[in-house]
Amino acid sequence: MATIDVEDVTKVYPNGAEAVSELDIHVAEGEFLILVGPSGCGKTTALRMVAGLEDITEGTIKIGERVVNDLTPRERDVAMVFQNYALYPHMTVAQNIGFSLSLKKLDKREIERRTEEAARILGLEEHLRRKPASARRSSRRPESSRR
Amino acid sequence: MAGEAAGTSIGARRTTGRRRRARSGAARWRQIGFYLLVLIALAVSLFPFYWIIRTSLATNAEIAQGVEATGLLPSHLSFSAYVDDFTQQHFLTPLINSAIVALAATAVTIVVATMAGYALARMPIRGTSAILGFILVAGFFPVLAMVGPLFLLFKELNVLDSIYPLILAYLVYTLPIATWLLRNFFSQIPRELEEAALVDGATRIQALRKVVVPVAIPGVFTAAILAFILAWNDFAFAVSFLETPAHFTAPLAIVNFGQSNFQVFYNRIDAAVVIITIPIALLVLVAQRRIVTGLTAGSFR
Repeated sequence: MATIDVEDVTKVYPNGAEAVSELDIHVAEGEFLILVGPSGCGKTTALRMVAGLEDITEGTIKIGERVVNDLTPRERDVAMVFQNYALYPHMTVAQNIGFSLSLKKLDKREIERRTEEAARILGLEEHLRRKPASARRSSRRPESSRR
Repeated sequence: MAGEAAGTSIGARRTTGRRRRARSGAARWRQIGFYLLVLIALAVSLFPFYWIIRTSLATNAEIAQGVEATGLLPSHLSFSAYVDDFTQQHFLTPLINSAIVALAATAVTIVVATMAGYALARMPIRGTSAILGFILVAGFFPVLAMVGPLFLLFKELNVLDSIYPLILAYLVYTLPIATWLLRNFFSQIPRELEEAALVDGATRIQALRKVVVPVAIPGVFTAAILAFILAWNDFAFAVSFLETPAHFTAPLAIVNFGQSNFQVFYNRIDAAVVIITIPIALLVLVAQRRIVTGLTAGSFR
């Protein structure tokens, strides 16, 4: 966990549309923040800029004390739940949960331990060996959030 | 929505049922005519294959007698042509040559076309549509027009009469179509899937290798099969660049079967044709299971 500072951030898409204009948000460590607004007001764009999936036109974004403007999502070490879940269809539920750990080159047993722990918390243990398509529809969100 | 669709389809079926009853005689004749046409088309397209197999299983003496004497059905089967292909014609060497060249060309095609297709599908490259148009034009460019320049190039490099430059030449066939195909597959994959991989800590290349390519595997297989078939079937480049029989690829070797003799061994030629068709048939059969779309099912709501 860390603080997130969004300072004077503006996003203008290449087609000229201004999605976010001079946004200023300070999120304290451990704080739970909800953005509410009509569709198209820039909530998703703001989130994507923090995650590093979208370039910032102007302003600064800090995670912890670090300016992350030009860092890739990988270098920012963040997690995000996508609106459409975006589960990897070719991997099992366990592989989906453990994907970021395997990218960090963690020990196999450690990945297994942490995957199982996450699955236990979310009640997904019985689905671990299955692929997302065959897991119960209702169980998809917790799985995606665990990633 | 599903209920609605079912409702309309039942309604539609009811009306067509009534109509069918009203003019059942005409409809039936139309149906019979349709199947008759299908049957004729089927016979016309399959007969050459049957004839190749039938000829490959005949002895040369039988063939010399002509169709009038032997008839359409074989009186007995002889596998001597298949044996002769390997013992008399040394068909194994050209088969191996063909396999090396086609497999290498396929491998290079998949690696290059995957990266190029991904870049064209996802990266903000200026003039993407112009590049795509150029690739398409290159794909339809007459192959024989490429023979001249490539011949001069290989001559300058002193690599004529070797199978390895053929790998490069076959990319002329395979790369445009594979790049175009894979680009279309990649652009159909939801962006969020790769973004999820990026947030999970993958680099661009890792996202491509571990998420995009596995999800697009039907497309990758399709591109690989197409590339392999194009390279495996090539005649124009092989006949232009190769000279020594030991360096021939299979299609080129077949054409030269029996040329040095006083007779043409049609049975050996057709047996060789059957032999080079087998890998393609197997490939398509095996890959067919992989080319099942709907692999992304379950990824999204």
